[in-house]
Amino acid sequence: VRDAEAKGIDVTDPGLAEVIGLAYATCEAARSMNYAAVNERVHHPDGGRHLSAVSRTITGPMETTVAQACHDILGEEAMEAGTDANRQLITGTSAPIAAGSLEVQLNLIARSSLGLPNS
Amino acid sequence: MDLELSQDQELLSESVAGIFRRQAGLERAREMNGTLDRPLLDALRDGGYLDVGLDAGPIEAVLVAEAATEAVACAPIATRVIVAGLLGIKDLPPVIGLVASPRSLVRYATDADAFLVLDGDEAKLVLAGDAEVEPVASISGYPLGRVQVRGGTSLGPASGDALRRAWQVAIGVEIGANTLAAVEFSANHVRERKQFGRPIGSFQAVQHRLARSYAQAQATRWLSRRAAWFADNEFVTASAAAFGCLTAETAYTNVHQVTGAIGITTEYGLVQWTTRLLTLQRELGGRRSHAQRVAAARAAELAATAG
Repeated sequence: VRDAEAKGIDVTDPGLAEVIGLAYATCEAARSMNYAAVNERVHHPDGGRHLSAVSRTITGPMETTVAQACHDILGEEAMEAGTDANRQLITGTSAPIAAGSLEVQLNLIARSSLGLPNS
Repeated sequence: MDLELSQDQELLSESVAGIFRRQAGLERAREMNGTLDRPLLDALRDGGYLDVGLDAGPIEAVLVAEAATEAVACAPIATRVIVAGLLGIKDLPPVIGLVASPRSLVRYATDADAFLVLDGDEAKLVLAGDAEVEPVASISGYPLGRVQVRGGTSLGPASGDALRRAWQVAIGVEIGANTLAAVEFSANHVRERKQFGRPIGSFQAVQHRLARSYAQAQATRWLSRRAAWFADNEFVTASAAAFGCLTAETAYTNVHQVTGAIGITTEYGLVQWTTRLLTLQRELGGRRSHAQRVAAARAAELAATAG
């Protein structure tokens, strides 16, 4: 957002404000979920720790959402090398893959939290 | 930071869950057929649960509202315990309607004893006798109406902001609980329903839809609980409502896709939760408005820090 303002982009435009707001909201949802997962780890160290997979399922796509928001806000200038948007694109692309892909986390939730049968 | 429920909060959850097991649930919602459940409200009032936000605190209010929502209680319980509780209004009657504008659709409008009305920077408390209510037929899981108010009592300067933030919290709480209940109901279906010789819930294409919505519902729940605790911070309260809207949108599609044709019948029951999700995700301006509030609140925070 700071970068956009420096480039003269009106970040108070309602369409951009919506994109920015949803990106922030997604970050706050991930933050809250991470707190809950850590709390579960501390208080129930021997339990199934179901919220860890939930937390990862929110955090990975959050990075992607933020990357897309950066590109929406900055437009084609987001393609310039070395920008924050560029770095976020790398994070946003790799986050749903790293530390157990998003699909592995979804499999864990399906089994441990929803009690669905093995595929 | 300790997010574990205290012993008192656990006891509250268990006792209120008992009331909803006995007096709410899917069968009761079918019986009520979109009308207000007065006996349930009476039981909650007699047990002191409607003022739990004032008497115990915001998290206790959220716990009652979550349980009510999951049990498809046919009464505006989140409004009464969360919104009125966060605003600190005492001696309210049981049924409160929330009015954003004269054109907006208000839940339980025809049954409301009083309304909390957004009027610019101020919030007003308007008794039912000072309001004109036009019932509106709808596909919502709630009875709806339009409300024109006359007069009313101002809740003070800047009370409009406080009402909006409390309402955002309630939207997040209700969406989180509605979605969790809808996902769990749908999970039961896909465990039993067989195709190609296997439960359809064993297919990843089905599992991932439900798992994704379950995760979003949990995130909405935890963010909304945080928002209730930090109800003076619109960055957090509007985030809860905005993310809740994303959750509701995805969950509606996912749970209906995996339950197939039976899921959209009124007899089956899933629509008791999902039609409520449709209403909640449009209230108070919906996702777009909540997201713009998040951005504005963050910009204001950053400007204050820089200043």
